[in-house]
Amino acid sequence: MNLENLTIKKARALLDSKEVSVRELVDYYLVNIESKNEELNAVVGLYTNIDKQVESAQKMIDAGEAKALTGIPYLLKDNILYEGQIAGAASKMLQNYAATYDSHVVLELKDQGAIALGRANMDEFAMGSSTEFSYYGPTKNPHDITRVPGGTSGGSAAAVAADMALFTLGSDTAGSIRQPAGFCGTVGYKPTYGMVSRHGLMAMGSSLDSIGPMTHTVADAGLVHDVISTYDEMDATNATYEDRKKYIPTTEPKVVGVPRAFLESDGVEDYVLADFEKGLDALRDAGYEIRDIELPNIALSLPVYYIILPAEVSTNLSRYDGIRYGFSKQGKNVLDSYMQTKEEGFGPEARRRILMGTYVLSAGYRDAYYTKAEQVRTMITNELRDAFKDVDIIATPTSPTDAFKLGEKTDPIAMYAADLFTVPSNITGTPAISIPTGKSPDGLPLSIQFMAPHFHDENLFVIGQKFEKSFK
Amino acid sequence: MITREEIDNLCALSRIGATDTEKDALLTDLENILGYVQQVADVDVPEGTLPAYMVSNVMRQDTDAYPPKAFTDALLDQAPAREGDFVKVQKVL
Repeated sequence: MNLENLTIKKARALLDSKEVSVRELVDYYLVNIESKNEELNAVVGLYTNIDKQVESAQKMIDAGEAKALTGIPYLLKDNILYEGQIAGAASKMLQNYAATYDSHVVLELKDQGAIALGRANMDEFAMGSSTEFSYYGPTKNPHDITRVPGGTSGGSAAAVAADMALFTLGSDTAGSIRQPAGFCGTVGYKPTYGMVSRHGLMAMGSSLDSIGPMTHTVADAGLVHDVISTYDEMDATNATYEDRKKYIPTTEPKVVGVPRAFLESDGVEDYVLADFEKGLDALRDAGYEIRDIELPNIALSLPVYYIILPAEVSTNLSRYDGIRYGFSKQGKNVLDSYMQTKEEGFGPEARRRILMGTYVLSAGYRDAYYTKAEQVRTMITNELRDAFKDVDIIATPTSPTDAFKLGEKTDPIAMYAADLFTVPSNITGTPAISIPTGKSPDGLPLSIQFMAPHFHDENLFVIGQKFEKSFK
Repeated sequence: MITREEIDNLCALSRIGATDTEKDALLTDLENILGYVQQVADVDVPEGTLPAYMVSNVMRQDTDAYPPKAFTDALLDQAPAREGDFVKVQKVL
């Protein structure tokens, strides 16, 4: 049977009707990984318990107890914990670290009987926009192996695009799910901050990090999100069902806002804007009203991010000290051991951001940079909240360009610009989804992004599915 | 702008060892990044705008404690050096 480019929904039907066994399905993806990974470097390790997982999933199906994701093979970004298996954050610092517990999302996927195949490549500790900062070497874009897959969840995006798993999980702190999804032509979804527990996700920017799926279709993304978004008291930022209910929309979205001035930012390619206009046509065809909106401060989201994120990184990554776990280099005394461990264990971007964060939090600079950035963050959030009084959804392209060449961006700030359109939803905590659209002049995937108000995640799946049908 | 002495100090504060060549490169990078984020420092923020981190604490009851030693071995197995049920470290004092 031809299992190419299945969706979760189709695979579910094949498994439940016994046309395909879990073993056959899993083997299809394992063979793909085996044959394509040498070139793509999307997968950095396979788990050691796949056979056991297959056996118990098949038992669930045979007993008529299959759930939505029973027997569905997936990959985890290398910064999400699966007990007993390596979770390395694509860093030398954790290359031999075996997770000591399951993340919340993995617990839920285990309960479903979904099959965790292994771990996907990423930028070290989720810092970057191209997956070139991985200790395991860069992932290549399946559409053109001279190009980056985007980042930081580049391995997760490339794996779905290359049919190495039915879905993958990534983490998104400035666009790290949506931007690589866009570059690789898959769907990528970042939930409302507080919807999905980060218990067991290695913390990078705690006020920004979210976990979300990458899939072939919007419906599949919704399926995975439903499973992993259960309430978890182990993450203090996870919203209770009661709190979520206060915000859940009662009507389907009808009006889509377009922040025109923001789209005309420096570095946004003409072919991206032309493709975006086609996307708006598809929305009109699907019955949506398009309205231009003003978001005068939204472009400040990116520089705000590059103050807040390094500050949080410098705090969160201080735990990697070579004493309790991870890479350890012994020096002549304790202080020297710290210095040498962090010098050798962290790659260049991680070190750059730790130092930047230390700077913006240090005495004399904190108010000018960090506190100010957090105030501007409030301004941007209020501005967005006001905009959502007039429109139900805000649309932008996902990225200002198509996938760039490996090694092309050597200047850190040029790399940062790739997150222009995706970072506002992290700064404000709102949900957003990236959906494939047309192709660039070089034949690479382009995509559109929809943002919604806090906890209106469901509306993104509604408009997303209509958009998929309508876009030609 | 940032000075080379400040880079030395930041490395010391964050316990990151770096060679002189690397510190020179970091000086240029950080100068550029600070130049880029300066636009935030220059924003006129309306009076009374609270920083976004002014949110409430979430607490939970400290109940259902794990039984003693439930995770001891799993955690200590990850330590670079172990002695019995302790993480072994260099002399501190």
